[in-house]
Amino acid sequence: MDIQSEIQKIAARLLKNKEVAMVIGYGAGSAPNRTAPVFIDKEKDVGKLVFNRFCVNNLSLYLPRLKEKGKIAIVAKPCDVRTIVCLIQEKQIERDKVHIISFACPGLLEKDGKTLFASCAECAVTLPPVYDTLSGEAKEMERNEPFTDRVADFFSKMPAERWEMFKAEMEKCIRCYACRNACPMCYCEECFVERSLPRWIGEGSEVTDTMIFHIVRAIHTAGRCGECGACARACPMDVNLAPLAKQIREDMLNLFHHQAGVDPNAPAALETFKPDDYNDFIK
Amino acid sequence: MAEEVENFEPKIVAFLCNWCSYAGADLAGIGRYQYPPNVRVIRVPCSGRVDPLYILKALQNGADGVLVSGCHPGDCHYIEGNYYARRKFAVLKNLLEALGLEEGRVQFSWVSAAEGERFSQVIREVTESVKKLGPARRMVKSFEIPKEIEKEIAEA
Amino acid sequence: MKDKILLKENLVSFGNSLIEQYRLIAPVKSNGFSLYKPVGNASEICLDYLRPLKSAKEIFFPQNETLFFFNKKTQKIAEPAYDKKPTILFGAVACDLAGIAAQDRLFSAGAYLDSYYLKRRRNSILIGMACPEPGEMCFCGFFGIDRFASDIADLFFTPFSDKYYIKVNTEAGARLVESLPDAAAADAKTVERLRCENAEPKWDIPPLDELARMLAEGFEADVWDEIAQKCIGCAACTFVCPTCHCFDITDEAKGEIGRRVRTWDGCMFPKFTLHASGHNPRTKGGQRMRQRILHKFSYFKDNQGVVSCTGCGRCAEICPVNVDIREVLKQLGEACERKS
Repeated sequence: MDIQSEIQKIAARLLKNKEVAMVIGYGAGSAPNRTAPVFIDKEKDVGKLVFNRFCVNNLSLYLPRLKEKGKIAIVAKPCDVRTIVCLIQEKQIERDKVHIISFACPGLLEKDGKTLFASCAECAVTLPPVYDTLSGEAKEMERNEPFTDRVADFFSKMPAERWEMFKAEMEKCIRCYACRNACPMCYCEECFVERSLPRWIGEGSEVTDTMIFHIVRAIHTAGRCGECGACARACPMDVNLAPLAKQIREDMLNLFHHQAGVDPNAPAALETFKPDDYNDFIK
Repeated sequence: MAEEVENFEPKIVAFLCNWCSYAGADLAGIGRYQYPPNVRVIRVPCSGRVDPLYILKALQNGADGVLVSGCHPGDCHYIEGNYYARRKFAVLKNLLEALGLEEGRVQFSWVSAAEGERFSQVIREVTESVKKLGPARRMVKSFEIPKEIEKEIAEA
Repeated sequence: MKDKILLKENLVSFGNSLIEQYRLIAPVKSNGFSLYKPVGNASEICLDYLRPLKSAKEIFFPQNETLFFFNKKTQKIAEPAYDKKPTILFGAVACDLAGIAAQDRLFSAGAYLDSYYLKRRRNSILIGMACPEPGEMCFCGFFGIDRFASDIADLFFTPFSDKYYIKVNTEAGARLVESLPDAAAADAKTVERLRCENAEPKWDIPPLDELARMLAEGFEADVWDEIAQKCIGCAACTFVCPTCHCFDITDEAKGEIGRRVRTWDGCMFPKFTLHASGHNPRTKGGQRMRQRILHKFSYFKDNQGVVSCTGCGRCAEICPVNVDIREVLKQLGEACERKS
């Protein structure tokens, strides 16, 4: 049976037995090669659930805001499961209040229906680290390209050129905050960019203000980022945030041997320390 | 440009932890250890209190260099504040340099309350290295006001 | 005023002849889409895409603008000098021109004149471009917008075979195309035929007059919460919209000297309506969604006489969670039917 029919079957069972109050999944989008989040609370509606390679959102962003509904089932790609694990670790949701429906992920495609998303090509976790029900086979997918073009080109440059490239990307940003709002780990009630006392960064799109937003967001998600790429896909201006994500991911692995959300018992990298941590950069 | 760099006196913002590095700076004064006057000290309770945002704000507002200094590992007044800080700063420093900010704009040190001479040494080194980099430009917020407008609103 | 003809191969030289005297803004290719940008050479003009990703509103109402500089000590202010060179917006599609028409009503009609908008707008010439095929999210036809003509444009180009048919609407426009050959009657017929062939499809959205009633009746409807459930509260939709015009004003200072800046804001941001007291009248996503839709289809119509949605489909196109304004209207219609 394909993943979509299995998801529908599982959802129907969970709703019928009243095991969950709601199923969050993907539904048909309003145009080809698109999907939209759907919230199903009646068994008869499970036919609305779809699964295809355009399930671009990370639905776990809805879990904290819907937790008063009771136990919720969620259709989650393995990367989305990683953020669910982080949300549980950070006590935003409880493990026994979420039913994770996952699967071995085939990777997502861009709207052209052909190209694999950069973050999917780089993906190292194609099987969910935890789940309650698994649709389809538990077969690991061959991916994990270390460097996609968007990143390789950037890191092949000298610092001054890299800064110019980074600046050019930042100048594209319109500060709509779609990246932040599409991110399940950006659940702060009040983001630092919106604070007015003190006002940390200017409201406009002056480039250093935009840089600070993206750099600080990258650091705030360091060790908590499930690398789902939902932020990059949410961006209307196609700002290339991959170098930031890549650098953070490499540091987490190389300096702290940490992959966010893969091991529910491992604390987030910046929430812990070792006395003999990397110290060479300090005088 | 070359001349500008030669006579360039960098502005360096130094976040010093209250218990070690700030006391170290104090001791440098008491011991009459000379160091360049380029640092502007901001006293913070702990190096762990320094949010990466503070460092970025300093750079955005025109600091040519930023130094964060705290207690040596194991000596933190709050037991483990500087350990967390160390992880955070490693990530920040690597990220900024990966994006192309000059290496050395942001520096870190451990200086204890007993190390007055070392404090002056650190400041000398930081000032020298930032001087070599020249004035900061990459992260600085442009605040362009046309000269004639600046003049117009300056006159009472 | 006689209509004119321009050969497609002469577009670049025509564009370059404008650059000498005007600031030329036109769609420019930018990494898989196009954007309205100032062009230094007309060869940069790119008409390959459906419509630029962002609307044309920022030409007259930029995302950021310094209203004035101030000196806290002397208590004096001064406005920034402004470029007197007139602007030509070339290649604007009909939905964007309709957007400019709506913004004109808002910023330059009635008692409230926005001098910042007007100084740019009054010093501009609009050159429209027919949009041969609507995109998958487009529904300008629903609002009766003609993709092959616009009254607000000084000139309007319609491509056919190897030529552009140039409809001349104003004297200012006529002066730009004086030297071009007149259009023949046959050309006018060809363009008219093209227009008929591209008649609009039917829309399964409640018609505008019915919508007005639904919006009035459905103010407290639960459907708003349903519609907004998936909205993530970014403001991408309002920023790409040709008519959204909400802004915030902030001061940025360094020492004694500072500037007052006007910046786009968006009603979909949860903190958009946060009061200084800490009270927020629109805490729920449904309330915010309702505001955006009602402002477009009800309040703006009441105040300015037109609906402020031009059916450009940009908000639907870029929404990270596929909130499609057409679906929203449909859902609203269905909810009203259920009720009655």
